[in-house]
Amino acid sequence: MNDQQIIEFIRSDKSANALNSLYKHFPLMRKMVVANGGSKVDAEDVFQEALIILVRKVKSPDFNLTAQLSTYLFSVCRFVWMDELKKRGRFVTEELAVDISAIEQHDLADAIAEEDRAKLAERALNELKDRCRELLLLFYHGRMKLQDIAAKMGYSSENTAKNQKYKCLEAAKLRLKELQLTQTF
Amino acid sequence: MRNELELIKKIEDFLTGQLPSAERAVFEKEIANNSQLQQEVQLQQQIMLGIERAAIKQKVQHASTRFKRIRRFYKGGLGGLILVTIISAVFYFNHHRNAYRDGKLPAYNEQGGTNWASADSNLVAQTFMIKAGKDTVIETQGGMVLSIPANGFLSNDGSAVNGEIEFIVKEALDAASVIKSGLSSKAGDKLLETGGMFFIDARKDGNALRINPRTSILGQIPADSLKAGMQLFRGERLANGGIDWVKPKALNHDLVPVDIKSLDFYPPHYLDSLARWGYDSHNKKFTDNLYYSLAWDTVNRAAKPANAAPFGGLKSQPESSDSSLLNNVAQKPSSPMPRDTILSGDYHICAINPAKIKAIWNDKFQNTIVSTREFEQRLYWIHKSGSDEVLDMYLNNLDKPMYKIDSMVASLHTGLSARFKKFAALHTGGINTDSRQAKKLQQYYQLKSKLFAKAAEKTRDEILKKRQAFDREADKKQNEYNDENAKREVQNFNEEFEVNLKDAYRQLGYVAPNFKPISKATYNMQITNTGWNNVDRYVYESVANRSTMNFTDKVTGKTATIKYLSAIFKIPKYKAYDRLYVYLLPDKLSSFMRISGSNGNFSEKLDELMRYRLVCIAYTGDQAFLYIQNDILPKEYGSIGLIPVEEKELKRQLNETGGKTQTADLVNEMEYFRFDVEDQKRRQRDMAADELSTRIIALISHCATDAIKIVYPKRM
Repeated sequence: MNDQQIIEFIRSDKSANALNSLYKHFPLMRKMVVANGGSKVDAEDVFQEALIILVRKVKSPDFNLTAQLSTYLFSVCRFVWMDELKKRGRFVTEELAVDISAIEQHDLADAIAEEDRAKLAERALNELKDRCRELLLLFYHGRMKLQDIAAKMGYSSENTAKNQKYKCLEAAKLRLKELQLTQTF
Repeated sequence: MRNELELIKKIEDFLTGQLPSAERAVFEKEIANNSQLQQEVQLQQQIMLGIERAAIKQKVQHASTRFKRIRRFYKGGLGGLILVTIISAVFYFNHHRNAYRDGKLPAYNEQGGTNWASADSNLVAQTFMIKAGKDTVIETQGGMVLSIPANGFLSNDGSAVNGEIEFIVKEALDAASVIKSGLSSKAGDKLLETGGMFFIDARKDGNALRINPRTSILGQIPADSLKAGMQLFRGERLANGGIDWVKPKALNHDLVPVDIKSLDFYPPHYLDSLARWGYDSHNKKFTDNLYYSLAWDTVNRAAKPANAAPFGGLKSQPESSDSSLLNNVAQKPSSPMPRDTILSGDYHICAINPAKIKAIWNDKFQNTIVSTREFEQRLYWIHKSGSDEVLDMYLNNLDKPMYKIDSMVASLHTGLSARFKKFAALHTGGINTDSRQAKKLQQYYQLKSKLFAKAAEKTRDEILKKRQAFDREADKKQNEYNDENAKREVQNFNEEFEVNLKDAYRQLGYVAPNFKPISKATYNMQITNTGWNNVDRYVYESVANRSTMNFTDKVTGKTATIKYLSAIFKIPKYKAYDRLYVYLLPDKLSSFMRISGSNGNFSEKLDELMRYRLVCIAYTGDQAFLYIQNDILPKEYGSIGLIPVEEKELKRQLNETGGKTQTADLVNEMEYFRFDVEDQKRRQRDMAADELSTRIIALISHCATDAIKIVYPKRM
């Protein structure tokens, strides 16, 4: 699969294939993390985080690939790991980011900050009831019609499903608010 | 909808750009002025980010699972490749009309009973619709791979099933899901270590199906590392909702063939010993030739039982019940010989016949159980046992899983029992080799090992014959040389005696008698008491002792004197030569005199009646050195330096020196020496080869070695 195909798969919400293809770069990235003071578990986390960032970047309309996708992925990995080391209060050699341009670094720092906020929301979602979570994912990400969701999940009508969806959103927001509060203390 | 929910909907519309532009402007103003609303919008925006993240992450994790499983297939070789080739049917999730819909359980369980365990309701059912008549491979969400053969299910009355059937899987493959689902890993009172638990059921129109007993489902559960002794337990539902695990069955893990050339089939310590002895252990051609050259032909050798067998012998009564294996083993002749003991030369060799190794260590056995690391491990111990029968067991059963052969070995061979029981416990599977191919390979092995053994014996015989021929030739030449030497000495003596005697007569004023050559041996008996004879005797003794003679004739009062005076030749660089010969060529003798000496000091007494020429010849390897000097005087020649010459030049110079017969003799002598040098080299080579073979036999042979007493000479 070439870079363009991968990008098209991601943009048309068929990222599964794209991700399978991108995963073959994992061993190289793992080497990088392990060589720079990380464990294998760290390596996997970093790689997955980088993939998430990459998917989001590719989906954003202003994404413009200037290098090979694997090179870009490698940059993201290095930056994510550097950021993680900083967060852990560890000494960081700037060598990790030596060939990442200032603009790109700025861009990636933003992406990581956004991802941190998304992570908190993800936590809030994970703490919802499974059905609630599934409903939200199906609707907002699976782009399923409410009618089909109702059939699939056994709601009596489309309207019930819709109502339920908002209730779930409300619960998620509430939980997120709580999490934000506990985080500030 | 309540107000709060209306607001949420409005924010959502705003965020997704679905708000009409008029409304949008108003709402934007509202947000700007209302910090609480601001916060709500931000929260909701963040939740959307979270939802998207959760969705992407799910896919990333799927990719991760898939990646790891593929790696494991390639690394651990769970046989994934074989499975891929038989995939024929498409599978899909079906969300409608299945037996395990919406987390509900059907009325009757897979055995027709109505009892369900709590795990049944706690675990989510994965339903696959498959076509009954086709081979199908499915992969569950947890990464379990199940291969369902065509017509793998029968209906309850035993009849074949047609059309689509539902195949239901519930799985708890990691510790967390096992605990969450309320499963326990206990068999009775024993705690088990779980490698994963799963439930499978097949339904047609809601009715449970049976697995066709003639076929079976092949299942693979992903694992990070393979542990020995993992077994498949059957779950039995208990009244309290738990599951008891019963009737364990052993699991197989399949072998991964590797390039057979990358394996080491030599006996233990063969290569490292060779390296230690200073041989090139990386030269496979050399190590192969050396090892295979030791092969022996069992038929041609008189077999003799060994008294002691450190690894035990074969038990007479096999305990295994696997009759097909037994049939193959039973091919060995029922000899009283407890183990493969071969009388080879002067030695008993108890080792695997190298011919057998040669027969299997080649491309023919690629992709069989032989070309696996597992076989290499076993071969190590087979070498140690020295039992050809054990090796044959593997080769006669190439189509069987390895663990079956392991347990055969364990029960047949007392010495290997413990080790091979451990191997058997690993439950190592086989390599898909069909029995026809296995049979062919087995025949190939039997035929080739015999042929190789015969060839090796023949080669050895030929080498031996050649060697004997060389030895005979060398002995013959040596005898000839010795004869020549003896003849020359007698001839020299006779000639010198004649010269001296003539001169003695001349000095005494007599006419010399017509002289007949006499031999040293017969002369002693011819001595009489006459005066003439007296002179003869004095001259004789003088020549024999090479000492000066003073004889006064009582009759005439005249005195005859023949002087012998010492000459000394010193060659300071004698150490630089392998061989060094010093010759004197007297002008009055037809042959030469070889002069003895040591450490570069040679001396001889010169007959004053003759003129001598000195010839020194030396060799270092094939390089000849020469020194020639005429008119040698009875004195010390302190530093004689030899000059390197070509062999041709040497001959030419020798031919110009001295008389015809002298040169011819000298050239002959040189030729013999050259032959001798080569012959010594040959003998040393042969000895070194014999010595190496002996060492290796001692290394690989494991039976009582009282016949072998090897004193290792220093390496040449």
